[in-house]
Amino acid sequence: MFNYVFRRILQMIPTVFGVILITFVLFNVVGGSPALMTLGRHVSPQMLEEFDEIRGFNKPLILGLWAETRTYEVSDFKRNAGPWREVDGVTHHPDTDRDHSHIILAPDMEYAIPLAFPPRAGTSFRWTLEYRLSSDGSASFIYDKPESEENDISFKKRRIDIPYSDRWRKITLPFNAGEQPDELNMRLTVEGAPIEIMAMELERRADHILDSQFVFFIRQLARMDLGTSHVTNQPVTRMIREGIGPSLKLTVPIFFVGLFMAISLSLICAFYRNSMMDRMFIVLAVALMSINYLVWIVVGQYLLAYQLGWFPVWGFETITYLALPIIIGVISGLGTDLRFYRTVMLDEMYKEYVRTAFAKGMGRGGVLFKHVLKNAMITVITNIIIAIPFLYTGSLLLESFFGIPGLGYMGIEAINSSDVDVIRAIVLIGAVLYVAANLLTDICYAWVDPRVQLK
Amino acid sequence: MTTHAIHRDKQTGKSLWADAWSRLRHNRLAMFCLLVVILYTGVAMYGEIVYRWHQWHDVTPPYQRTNMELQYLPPSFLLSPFAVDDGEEVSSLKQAVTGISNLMRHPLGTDGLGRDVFQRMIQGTRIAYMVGIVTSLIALPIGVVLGCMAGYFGRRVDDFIVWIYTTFASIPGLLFILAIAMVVGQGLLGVYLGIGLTMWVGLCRLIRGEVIKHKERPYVTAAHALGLGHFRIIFRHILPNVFHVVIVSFTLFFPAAISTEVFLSFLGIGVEGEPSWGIMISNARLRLWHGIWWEMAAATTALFFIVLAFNLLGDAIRDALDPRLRTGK
Amino acid sequence: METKENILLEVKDLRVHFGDEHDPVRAVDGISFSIHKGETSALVGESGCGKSVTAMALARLVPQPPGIYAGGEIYYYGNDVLKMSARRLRQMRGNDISYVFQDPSASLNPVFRIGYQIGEVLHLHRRGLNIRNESIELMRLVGIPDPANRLDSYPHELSGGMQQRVMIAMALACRPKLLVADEPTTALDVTIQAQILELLASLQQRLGMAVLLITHNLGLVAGMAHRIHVMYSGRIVESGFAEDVLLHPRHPYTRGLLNAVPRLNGVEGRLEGIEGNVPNPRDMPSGCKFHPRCPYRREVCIEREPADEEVREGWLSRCHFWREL
Repeated sequence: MFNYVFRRILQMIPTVFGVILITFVLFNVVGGSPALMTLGRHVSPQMLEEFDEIRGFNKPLILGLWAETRTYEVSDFKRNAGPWREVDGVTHHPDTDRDHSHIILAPDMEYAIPLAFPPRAGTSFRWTLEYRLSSDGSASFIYDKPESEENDISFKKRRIDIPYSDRWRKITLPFNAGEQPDELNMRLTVEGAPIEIMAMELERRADHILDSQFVFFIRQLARMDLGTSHVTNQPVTRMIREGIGPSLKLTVPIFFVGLFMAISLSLICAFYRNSMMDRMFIVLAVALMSINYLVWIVVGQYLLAYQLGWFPVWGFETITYLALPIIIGVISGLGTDLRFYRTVMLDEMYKEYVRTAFAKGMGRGGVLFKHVLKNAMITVITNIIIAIPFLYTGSLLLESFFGIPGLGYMGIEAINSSDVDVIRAIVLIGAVLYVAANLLTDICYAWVDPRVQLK
Repeated sequence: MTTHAIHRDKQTGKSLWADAWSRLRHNRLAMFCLLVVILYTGVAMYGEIVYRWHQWHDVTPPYQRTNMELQYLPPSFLLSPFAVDDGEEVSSLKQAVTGISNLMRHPLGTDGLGRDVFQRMIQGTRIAYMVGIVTSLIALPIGVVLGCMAGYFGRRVDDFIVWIYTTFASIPGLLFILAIAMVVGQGLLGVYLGIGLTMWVGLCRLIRGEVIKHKERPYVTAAHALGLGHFRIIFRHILPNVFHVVIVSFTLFFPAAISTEVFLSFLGIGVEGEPSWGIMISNARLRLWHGIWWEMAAATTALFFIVLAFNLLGDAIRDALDPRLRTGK
Repeated sequence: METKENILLEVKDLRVHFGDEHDPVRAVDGISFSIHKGETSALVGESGCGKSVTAMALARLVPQPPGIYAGGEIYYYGNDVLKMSARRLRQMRGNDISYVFQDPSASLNPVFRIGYQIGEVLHLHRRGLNIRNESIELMRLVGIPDPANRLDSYPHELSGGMQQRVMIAMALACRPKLLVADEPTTALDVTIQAQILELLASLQQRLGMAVLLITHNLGLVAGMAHRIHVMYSGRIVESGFAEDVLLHPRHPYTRGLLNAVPRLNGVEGRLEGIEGNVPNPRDMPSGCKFHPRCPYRREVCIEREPADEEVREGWLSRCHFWREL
């Protein structure tokens, strides 16, 4: 028994890892920039960088030393001069048959490099440059690096020369931003002949090769830290703790009332199988499950709460506020459940042990409630346990329509405001609960079904 | 010998399908549902033609034409279209003609921007079908190919595919779809990918189970003995024998995809700028509180009947194709 | 022997149909026979001939729907089983008539302990007994070793043979007047089959009950049955005392069945089956239902269905030409 549980927990690890991988791929790789998605295009690059810094999005993806930074906007000059648009002495050369698109920096000038914001303190950076520079000219990066000796701050000029090259050439030029990068004044001097630049990129050096988004994410999870919502500025873990209560108040009654009704009705169907009543219930079940969930909510809220005034329309104050959402939740799920449990019951009704029970002289009720129900319980219990995670994640629509501040409400709000951390957290928690529920189901199987042994 | 084996396969396959069809044909309810599905398909195709025509000619299509004077017009059949102004002498023929033309103008009324609800409902059908078809084209092949491979090759391949689908199955469905749709970007592409990439799991599991059963059958052993390649055995020999699972899954998948699209559009994650049923419900929701019910009624009724028809048809097809799965008989 | 008092159960023109009322499958199409007190009878036929349905019908166990009791009477001590109240029927089942079914692993409820399942019969019909002791006694009776411990086992923990013994113990719990054993050995290993049959035979003698043995194997019944009823396509085609029917069969079908029985002693005659298949109940042949497979077929067999003809008292054959066989 213990061995079995232990082994099953070990088997859960790949699945949990898979879920983490999928959420990672979904939000960190496919999603492009979560910062842009969340904050939009109209915020300063510095704010985006801060967003990324908090959430580890400014690191290399899985492995690596160099990561993009928003300090200098990556530019390939395909369409225009990019960040160099406003700089005097810079001309843009569009893509032609003979030559790539590039920018030309006129000679004998010193250019302030159009950085979006000062680079991070105490960090190493590198320029990647694809350029052409004739031997007539020279070009170099120049920056004044502040060096403090006690109270006296003096500036030391540093210089990185760019070597000559007649053809397009790609080089990387590392430099260190120093302790007070605000004072860093980075320029590019060109003398003698113009320099042509095809692509230019600034990258930040990560602390070590494992200092990546993925490791950051895993470490965050290991600390049970699910990040911070940018909308409420609260830790997501706290939001979820607060949301679970209202969600459970809604979903637990829905689940158990629904289960009770579905099983009772399915037993009636099994008892009177193939009668008019059974057939009527089946048609009713299919009709119920064909009505969209949305329609139940919208029409239910309009008719029962607004028109007839039987229930409060919106809010979460007293128990009466929960009544209507619970009713709607039960009815909308009843069709599917009834059909499912009826199939389960009828499958059992045609088993041979049922014939034995009848041959013993048992009545139909006894056979149904004792023999059939106990066998059907195996399926029922599986279903109950598998439903547990969904009780926690709440009901997205019901909660947002009726203003119940649970996880479902939170989820919808997060989707509307693109709150990546919250969505990611709910997805992850739901998945982990599901995996755990799967384990519980297997254990319960052994508990209800004597044929199953945990080995 | 090869041709003989294939020939026999085909024959049994054919008789299975023919048999199922004859059983289905005697089911009156199923035939009615099939008719409803065909009708909706026709409407969706008409919608597509209207959409393409207006796009081609670069004109605003009628379902987008706003007219503030015609705001919130109730369905025309409620406006006594055959009524005649007092004191006016009209022949009964003319009365009938004006009546019918009145009736045809806005048969289901107009919405808050004076757009024709009937036309929008037709376009909603088009979008629903697009979603149903495209997501099926994404999900079914993934489910079939992965399911066949897992069932047929077993061992490592099986472990890997089972790992993938348990992982996918673990993630709460609707949230997963929402997250994908959100990440991919708003619009139909997000909806397609969100639904398509999450809903293949059930089919994959079923196909895997069936293929495992069939793998041990003599006809597969015979195919091996004939030296046929794995690919050929899977797709020419085993797949036709488990294809009924795909058909049944499709009939259940389609309405689920439609419902999910409505849900996503309602939340503002799905279709933009085009009249999906979800958008109609979302728009009509607040207007309902002012007693303007027809837009809501049109969208929900259209949605209800197609889902109902597919559900009933799916049940009937399952009963007809797989008598072992029959319930209650 | 053929007196009314000796008759325990009498079936008259029983008809059991399946499916649609307008176009039914006639699984049992007018059969009559009687079971005598303390006697072993056998109902023999190929699968699909309706023998199991007949057996089930004796206690009205054919599920409705899809089953339809389309006609006939089953008299048990003068009461028609088919017209009994549900209450009376429940009192009779398990108490007066009890069953042993073909596949014990499926016929025992997997989620209840064996002791509970045996005790349930006693609980239903014999309140006030010490159920536990009685159950142990029953298990000892059917030869289950270490019954006190076995009581708490689940069915899957026993072998097939032991499971069938449990079924028999359940069936014997109330000392029924009639035990119906529906292919009790088919699902078991060959070596176990003989043990179970021996057990049934010895119990029959000790308890003095009547046994109706349903089987497709004429060889099995040879040593056990007093009377044999041979069924084909929902009808009894030959019935009589075992020695008569087995030694001088008066129906070609019985002959065919006998030829299909392997014999250990002697090499005379080769083992033959009966050519062809059981007719599709949806597409019954005209005239004698056996004519498409009958080696003695003549014109009249195709045109007219033979009636029961008495070979001797208590020996009936449904063949136009029984005299010539």
